[in-house]
Amino acid sequence: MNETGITLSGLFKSFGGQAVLHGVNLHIARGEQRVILGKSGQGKSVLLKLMVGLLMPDEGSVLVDGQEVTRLSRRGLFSLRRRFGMVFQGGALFDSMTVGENIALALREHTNDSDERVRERVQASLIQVGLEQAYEKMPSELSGGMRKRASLARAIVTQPEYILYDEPTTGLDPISADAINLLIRQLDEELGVTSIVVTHDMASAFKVGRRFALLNEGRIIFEGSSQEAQATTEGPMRQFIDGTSQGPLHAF
Amino acid sequence: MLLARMAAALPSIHRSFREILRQMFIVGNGSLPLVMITSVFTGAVAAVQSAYQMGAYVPVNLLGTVVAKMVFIELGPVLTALVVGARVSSSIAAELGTMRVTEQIDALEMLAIDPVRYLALPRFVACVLMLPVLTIFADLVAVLGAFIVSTFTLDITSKVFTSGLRFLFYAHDIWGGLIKAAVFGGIIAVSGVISGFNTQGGAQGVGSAAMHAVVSSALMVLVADYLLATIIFQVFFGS
Repeated sequence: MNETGITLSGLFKSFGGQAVLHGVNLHIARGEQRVILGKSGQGKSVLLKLMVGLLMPDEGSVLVDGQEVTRLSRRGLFSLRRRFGMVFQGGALFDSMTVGENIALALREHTNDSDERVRERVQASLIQVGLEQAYEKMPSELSGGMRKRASLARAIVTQPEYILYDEPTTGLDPISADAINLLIRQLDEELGVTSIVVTHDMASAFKVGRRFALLNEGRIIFEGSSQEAQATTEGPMRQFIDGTSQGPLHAF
Repeated sequence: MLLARMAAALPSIHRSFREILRQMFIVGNGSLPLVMITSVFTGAVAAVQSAYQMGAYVPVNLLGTVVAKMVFIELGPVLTALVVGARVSSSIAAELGTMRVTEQIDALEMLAIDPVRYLALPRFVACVLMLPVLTIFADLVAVLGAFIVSTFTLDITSKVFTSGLRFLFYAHDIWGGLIKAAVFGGIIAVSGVISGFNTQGGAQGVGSAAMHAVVSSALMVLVADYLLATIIFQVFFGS
């Protein structure tokens, strides 16, 4: 088994008696740009949270670079998470702080950088996501797309090895969604990080992903490169790409 | 569990100094007008009711004594805790509950920042420190309320009332009340934090969390009041 990257083996997870994951097996290699596809409510976000110990599986193993996440103490989990950045679906910016303070928080907590140095690093992150004017703005003053970009700036400011994106384009207009896709692609190339994108937006998936996994009814039912996904002529992956309700995937 | 995690976070409390001050301002300054209004009428009612119950059987110069004992030991700390608890525990639960359902607490976890250290501990410390301060104000204003009612409507001279205040006055009555207030402050914060952290769902979940925080804080304050009365005034200061 590959020791580097993220390996999920036999993952089961239920909420209130309702099973969400039924034995998920998935390996994401270091440096990969992986997209996890699936209909809404299939447990894609749950899968992301399991990777970093925000949720614990009922059964199964989560290995990150050979480290078993399910056995880590809280201190161990915090140490692991410092290697990750995460862009949440709604941005999850702290609404009592300005955008600059949101991004600076991790630096103030985990580094001895001076105020001036923190400000420089925050500003550099904001420039990377095209939000250089937003330092003093409150999250409530930002549009949906700007909020996602600010969330991305917060995720990259600590220079993580892995970036997790939970539905990065959901709720955005096509222009803003494309800008986010380009940004993800650009950050992958510039930072050389491993990125894992959860989405049901196929346009976004083809723009940001090199390998795809399709999650349905708690299991991974397709895994392959974006070219392999594109080459399918039938089956669930093809149905998902075409976005039709007729086929092996049930609409409801 | 929450208390244990807050105790474990105590060594790094200096990192939350500014947040503690901010929370103390929110708890103290925001609650003061409410506490003052409640207390002035509490003192006034205490005077009227005591005068009625004492009637012709107890000398009138003991009215100040009775009111002071009631206020310092019981009414000041408990009513302050109930009023502030309703305001502060619901506010904490709603704020943290909203942070929970909008994934801001998950975001803190992802930044490797312990939400208990960053969110719970400052609120706990602020409540434990500010409840005694608010109780001191409540005690003073309640006695003032009793004094005004006694001198203006009960035909008791100010000299008689104040001599009654000094009669059988023990400093440990006030200390006991303030110790109770500090414990009540902890209860208020813990009720709010637990309800907030465990919020599920959306707006309805936040509403339920706020309601749950108020109810549990009020109930726990009353239960703790009995236990603390037994421990403080019977075991430690009992004759």
